[in-house]
Amino acid sequence: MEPLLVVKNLKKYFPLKRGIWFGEGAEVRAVDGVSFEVRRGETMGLVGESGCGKSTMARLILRLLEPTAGEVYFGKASVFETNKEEMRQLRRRMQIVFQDPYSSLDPRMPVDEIVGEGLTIHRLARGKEKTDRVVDLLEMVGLGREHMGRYPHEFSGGQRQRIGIARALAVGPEFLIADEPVSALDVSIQAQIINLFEDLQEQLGLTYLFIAHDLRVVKHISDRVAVMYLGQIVELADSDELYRNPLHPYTQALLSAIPEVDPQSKRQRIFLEGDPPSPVQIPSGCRFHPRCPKRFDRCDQEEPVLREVSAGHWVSCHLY
Amino acid sequence: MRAVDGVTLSVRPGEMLGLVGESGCGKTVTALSILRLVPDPPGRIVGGTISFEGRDLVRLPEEEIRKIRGCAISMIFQEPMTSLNPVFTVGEQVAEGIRQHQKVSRREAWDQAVEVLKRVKISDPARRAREYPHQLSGGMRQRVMIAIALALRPKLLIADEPTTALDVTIQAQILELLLGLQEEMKMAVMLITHDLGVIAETADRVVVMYAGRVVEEASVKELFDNPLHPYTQGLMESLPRLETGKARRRLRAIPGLVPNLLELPTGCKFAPRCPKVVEQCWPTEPELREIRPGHSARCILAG
Repeated sequence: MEPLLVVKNLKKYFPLKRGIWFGEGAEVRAVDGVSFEVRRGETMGLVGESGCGKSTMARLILRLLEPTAGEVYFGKASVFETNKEEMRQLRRRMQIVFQDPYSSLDPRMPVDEIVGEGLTIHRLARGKEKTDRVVDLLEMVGLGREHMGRYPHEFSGGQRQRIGIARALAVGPEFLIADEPVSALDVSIQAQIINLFEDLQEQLGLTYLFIAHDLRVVKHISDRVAVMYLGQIVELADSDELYRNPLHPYTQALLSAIPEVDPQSKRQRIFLEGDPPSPVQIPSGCRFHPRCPKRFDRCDQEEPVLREVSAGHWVSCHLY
Repeated sequence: MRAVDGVTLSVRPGEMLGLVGESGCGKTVTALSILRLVPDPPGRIVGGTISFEGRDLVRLPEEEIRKIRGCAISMIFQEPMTSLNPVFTVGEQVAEGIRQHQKVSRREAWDQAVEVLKRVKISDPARRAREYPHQLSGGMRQRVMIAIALALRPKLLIADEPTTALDVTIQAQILELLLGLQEEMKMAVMLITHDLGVIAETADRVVVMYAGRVVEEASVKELFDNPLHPYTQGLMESLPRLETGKARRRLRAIPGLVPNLLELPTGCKFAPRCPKVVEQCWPTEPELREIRPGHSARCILAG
């Protein structure tokens, strides 16, 4: 299948100025050489723990941040080489839904303005046509005309997330990045929103990059999943394959740490030592080696590369 | 607003009781009420008793309850970053509680604090004790919170979403630590969470809350094998499963919104969202009934 999005060796370092601890020249390597593709119509899941760089990556792909190095291609366009007007055009085609439905909606704007703003900015509709379009969008996400004049504080978290989705869809994107879109929601509401994402994908033929730390949710919604650790992808495979046959010791530990919803099952849990290291002081060799239960002498010397070890299954580990 | 309305539950010595429910269901207010930590005004305990080792905590004078707080019953909170004081070292914060309740010198309290930090498996505790909260990771801070709570060997620990703010690998470490300490210290734990997975892995008995009420109570095995209340059933079905190979199925979401406590229906509070609702659900609220030994549910259809 033809890729819609291609990410090549993407890097983003944030300099630490006037650091007390790190001195001059220290930097946070938030994203450190990431390459992957997202195929048209699929859902690519991106998992990893806090600080692994997944949100920075989302912002780079949309060029809300400028990269330190690397390229992103969306369709035929090279995202970082477009001029302002081309970028504006591109932004119509790629949109984002944020994690926090409380802080990502302007509290002083009524819902119809929040959802319709993109239509005005991109000169897609005005007047009655715009109103009709906003009503359509609200209905598409399970809200209605009666919600148009209300303000964000009048809605629950789940409803706000629906508004955020309607806003993202307003300009008719092909590609949607969902950055932890359900992690702030209650369990019973999470399922509603996940179902909504799936319905919309089917109706509109959308392509998703779905970022989350909840492996259960990612497994459910994704066709393929990439696992990130300290700014890099350590494993990437079809969703079923990854969960059935995780190869990287980090993926194995992550999966084994998910609490099982069955009090009978006594699974072998892999406990990782310590905490994820700071992206300022990245360990030598394989960046996972200080916590890895399977490390051997090569691991702190040589950095592994992401290699395809079976069809479609990529892993970055010296064991394979 | 009735945040908690007629909740009856018990925790037995040495037991891990899971309290599960969504935001606004009253689980935290229940916990805070046990320690009389609900600010008054606006909050008031308008009725009921909280019996702890034969004493009614609701009617205890303030200075008596202070002796119990942090000593016989203590609590850990969700957010380890905001629960610790940023201007004191973690050792001082653990020692402070010890000095509040025991007549010991500063030096002895400090030594005890280091000992407790060691018990929660903080490596190099003597050095860590001299560090400030911002120097520690999230998982480490939660260990410090646990150390503060356990310093005086409480009989009951209330843990309010202790792993929610943590990454999954760190969450596993903390739950393992809690389980180990519970066994070692033979204390009862009331674990409040919205995560059914955490409940399944740790609790002995489970209480499910909805809109300020207990809607179901059972042993953990019984609850997961045979959930009786449609809300509990809905919660379990709305979770994505990890099994592979099967075709992706639609999640069975619970329809509607998390209830607004100011606009609750007169009858069963779950009726507006319930897939099994019948006419009799609306006029009066069902009682919590024991359907089979040790398993109760607040639903007219149960049993």
